[in-house]
Order: sequence, then structure tokens, then C-alpha cells
Amino acid sequence: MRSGRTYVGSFDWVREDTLPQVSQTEGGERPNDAERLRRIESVTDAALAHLDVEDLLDELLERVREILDVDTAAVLLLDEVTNDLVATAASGIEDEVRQGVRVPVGHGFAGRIAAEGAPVVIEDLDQSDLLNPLLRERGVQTLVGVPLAVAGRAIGVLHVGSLTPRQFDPDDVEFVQLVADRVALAIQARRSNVERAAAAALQRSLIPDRLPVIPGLELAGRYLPAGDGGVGGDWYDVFMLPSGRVGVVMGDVLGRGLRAAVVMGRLRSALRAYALVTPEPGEVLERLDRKIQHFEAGQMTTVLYAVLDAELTTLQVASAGHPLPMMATPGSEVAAVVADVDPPLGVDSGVRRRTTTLDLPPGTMLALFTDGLVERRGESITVGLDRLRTALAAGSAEQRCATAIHSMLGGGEPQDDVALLVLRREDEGDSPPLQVKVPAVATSLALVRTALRRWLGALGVSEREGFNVMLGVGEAVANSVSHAYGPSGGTVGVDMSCSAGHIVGTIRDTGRWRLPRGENRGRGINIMEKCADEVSVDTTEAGTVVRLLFHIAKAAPA
Amino acid sequence: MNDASLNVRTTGDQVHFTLSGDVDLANASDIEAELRAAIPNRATSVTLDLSGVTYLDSAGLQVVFALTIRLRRLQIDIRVIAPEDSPARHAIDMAGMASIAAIEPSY
Repeated sequence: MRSGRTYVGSFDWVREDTLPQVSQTEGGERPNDAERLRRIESVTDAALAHLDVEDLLDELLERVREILDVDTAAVLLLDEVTNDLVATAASGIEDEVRQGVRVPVGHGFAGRIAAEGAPVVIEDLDQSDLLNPLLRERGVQTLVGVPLAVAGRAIGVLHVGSLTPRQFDPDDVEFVQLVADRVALAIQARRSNVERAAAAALQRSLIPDRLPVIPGLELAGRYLPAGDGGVGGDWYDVFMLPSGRVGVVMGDVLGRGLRAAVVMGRLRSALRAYALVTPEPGEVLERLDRKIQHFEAGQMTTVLYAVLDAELTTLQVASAGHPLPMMATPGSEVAAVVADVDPPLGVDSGVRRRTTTLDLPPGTMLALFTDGLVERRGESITVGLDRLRTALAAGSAEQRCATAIHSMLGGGEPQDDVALLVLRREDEGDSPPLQVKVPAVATSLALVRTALRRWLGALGVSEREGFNVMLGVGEAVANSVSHAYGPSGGTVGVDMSCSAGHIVGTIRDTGRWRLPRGENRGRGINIMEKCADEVSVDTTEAGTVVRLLFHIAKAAPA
Repeated sequence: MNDASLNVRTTGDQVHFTLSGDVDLANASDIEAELRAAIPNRATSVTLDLSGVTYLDSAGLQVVFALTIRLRRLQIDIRVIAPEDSPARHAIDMAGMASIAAIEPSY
């Protein structure tokens, strides 16, 4: 509440009536200090905080009418779509609301206040260009209107009117502004809540929480809205086309909030529709671009659209200004796909969009993401990309997705929306994964070993290599048991996958422990590093993820 | 799971332990207590046979080496038996502890 702010002195209201005032009522006299205090209290009354917005509006209008001794008080709110002011609440002359009076911004009394963002006083209605016939009909003589301002922008207008001619002094106008500020705050708070909830619901309904089951392809995806509680226009999509080909989409509508989410929903549907009739990804994006240019003019969007053929052996990819996916074929490092990138959608009409075709050998991993995953304030994007490459190095699609989200974001809330979709073409050498979740207590170690022995046995892993895996994983679980939780306890999750000559284990807890440093590195950590060919330990607010990679000479089903 | 079991045989001033099964964080401290309780002050040599151990983690290794160091200070001979290729030997090598105790493949 800006009760300390004063309008006297820096007063910027427009006096339309230049004629000398003939009649002056009592309410027109300058209120004394006690009266001013009473006025301020009427608006800052703690009881008002318990009212919902409608009741608050009614109550405040009632009070302002009483205190200024005027005949009508009303609030008009801006409809941002039509740019009209819509009568929303009134006390005195309620017909205004009942008839749903709309006033275009820039026109008439209220429209002018909204356009200029400054109070307007009309002391003789007959001399003015008032647009609302209702007030004229009712014989309103004098009007004071002030903007409902939020961050320097008018979201509506509050005005009071008197049936008898009278003069409003700067204190009166200041008081009306004080009420308007109170109203604006309440409206804005509700608006952002409603909008946030709607955008979040929309986003949830459009991002698949369950990805389609496509034989031969592992899929894992995550969408995390930015930490400010709002949502943006990030989305991803995976769909099967009638030809058996698989469409994969990652997109980012510039902007945030409900509008970005709505546009995202439209683009997602449009892309699916074009994908049905157009085989080539570049051409699909060309059509989508034309659609945006025409129907969502000025809405910049980046999209990556890829299509896997029905046998999952090749990948066609087209990027409209979107970061290229990371890819790893078996036995090679994770690296960004080499492909053409064309401008974002909605920027320039008539762009020729290119499609790049890539081989997708068995066991290949592909990770699509939005820039929110790799961009950190005050950090070069190369650092983010390097970290992502490391996190995506090995494991099943789900393991890589979980590791990447964990290591890129940790427990902190993302600054921007983040979307990540990991695909992995299954390999004939793959074996069914193992997932175990146990309480973080010492006796669970035996349970994990029993599960591992069985799993490793089924894979035909040699005794020696199997022991390495058991010992490495066992030490990681033991660390979680010993260090992750306080007396209230917790759980430890163990995920194992096996493919093309290596086994990857991820051991996850939601507590916090860290690698001992210096000379006294723990014996357990030491052993993990000896057992596994690669070890990474990631500790964040959200917990710890240990990833162990073991090269396995023999890993064929027994 | 392969539960751990500890067998103690005392011949004169010699104590012979046979440990088998899985040794981990869950049972290491119990095993340690049993080992220490079974060594009388008059003992001159101790043998710890790990041939039958199927799993030995860092907590178990800690027990073995803490015992080794303690007995050495008490001037009691200690021999640890861990055959090549046995899980215990593997764990000991992994931890780089083979040099600390006298590890022997067999008697």
C-alpha cells in the first residue's frame, strides 16, 4: 500500500471546467487531518484483506461513495483482447454494470484516463465528450476518474460522480487514487493467479505425461516450468504417423504466461496436422511458418522437428532456429548433431527450410532440449553444453534423462522453462533393465545384492565382472545409507541398464552427501572408482546421483 | 543373501577364524566385536581365513585392516588368507590394501 505517496504538489489532473465554480458543497471543502486519516483508514482497513475481489470492490466503492458523499462510484476493467474498458463493479448507479458498458481506450472520459494514465476531473458534464449515455441520462454533473495502475500500466479506471455540481479538490482526487491503488493490487493479484493456473493447466494438458510406447525406441521426457511459478511456451511431442514413421518435436514459443501457452497449443496441433500430410520435416516447418505469419503474426518460435523412419534406422531433422539435438552412436562421444539450422518461425516470410538426414545405428541416443536446459545466468553456454554432454554419456533413455536434469538443474528451480526429451534406439545387445528402490538402511544392501546377482546372472556377466558391479553399486548404496539421511530416513533407488558392452548403474537418494576431498577420500568412494570405469557423483539440493559405468567383456543373455 | 558366519578355533596360543558369506555395512560391526572378543591376551598368532567370503565391502575391509593394525601393535602375528580370484582378494586389491596386511593365498 502506497499510503505514504502524495499527489499534492505533483498533481497532474485535467480540469475541464474553466468556468468559475458557482455552487460549492460541503464535501468540496478541504478535509482536516483527522478526516484524512479516517479516509486512509477506510481503505487500509485490515478487515478488507479477508474479502474476495468482488466483495472488496463493492465494499471499497461503498466506502468511497460515503466518504466523498457522491452518488455513484464505479470500476471499469480493461479487456486486453478488445482494448475496451468493461464496467465491472458499481455503487449508486449499478445499471452501468448490468448493461455491461464497454468504453474503448482513448475515447470518452474513462477511455481517456486509461489512455493517459492520469486522473481526469470533469466539473460540468454538459461541456464534455462523455461517451457513456447512462451517466448523462442519470444526470451526473461532476466526475472524477483515476487509473487503476499496475507497474505504470492502466488495467482499468475507477470513477466517482455527483448528481449535483461540485468541486473536487486535490485531496479528494488523491483519496480516489488511493482507493484505486488498493483495487488495482487486488485485481492484479487475482488476475495473475487465474492466468497462472490456466496456463499451467493448459501446459500440463499439452505435454504428454506418458509418452507413446514405440517398440524398439526408448523414450524419456521432462518438462519443468521456471521457478517463478509461471509457465512458458516450451513443448515437446512424440507421435506415430500412419506410415509407421515417428515424429518428434521440441519447440519454444518466445514469451511466457497464458498467451505463450495458448500459442504453443495451437502450434502443436498445427504441426501434427501438417505432419500427417507432408513427409519432409523442412516442409512441415515451412507450412507451420506460413500459418504463424498469418494467424499468430509476430510470434517468434523455435522448433526442432525430426522424423524417424518406420525401421528407426534414419533420422530426418529440420531446425527453425532451435538448438540441435545431442546425439551419441554406440562407441562414440556425445556431440551436437551436424545439420542445417534455418531461422526461427514467425520472423521472416518465405524461408526455404532444409532437411538433414542422419543414420541412426542401433543403440543411438538422441536428446532434444530447449535452451533453458543449458543456459545459466553468468555462465557461458559452452559450459552448459559440456555439462549436458557428460550427463548424457551413458545408460538407458530414462537414466540419461534423469542424470541430465539432475546435473543441469540440480535441486534449484530453473530460471527459464526447461524441456528435455531423450530417445534411444534399442540395441539387440540390450537387456531388460533393473530397477530397485529400498529403504536407506544397512540391511537393504543385501536386498540390492540379491537383485543384482540375479540380474547379472541372467545377463551372463562373468563372476569377476559381476563382483565389480556389485561392489561398486554396493558402495554407492552404502554411502546413501550412511550419509544421505538423518534419523527420519529415506530411500535409495538403483537403476541398472545393460547395452553394447557396458553396464550403467545409477544410484539415487534425496539426501545430501558429498565426495570426501583431499587425502582422506573415503574408502567406499575409492573402491567405486576402482570397480567402475567411469564414476560421477552429483550432489545437489535435490539429492545425490551416482552414475557408474562398467565396461563388460561378456554381456550376452546366458 | 549369503548370511555371514564366523567360526573360531583356538589351539593353544593360536586363534583361527573362518569367515564366510557376505560382509557389508549391515553386519561388519557385529563381526568386528565377535572377532575382538575371541582373541585372548595371551594369543601369539591369529589367522583370518576369508576364502569363503562371497562379498566384502569397504565396511568389511575396514574391520579386517583395523584388526590387523591393532594386533600388530599388540605384537600378535596376523595372517589373512584370501585366495587369488576370491571375492575377498578382489576387494582387498581394489582397495589397494594388499600391502598393509600379510595376505596369503592359502595356508
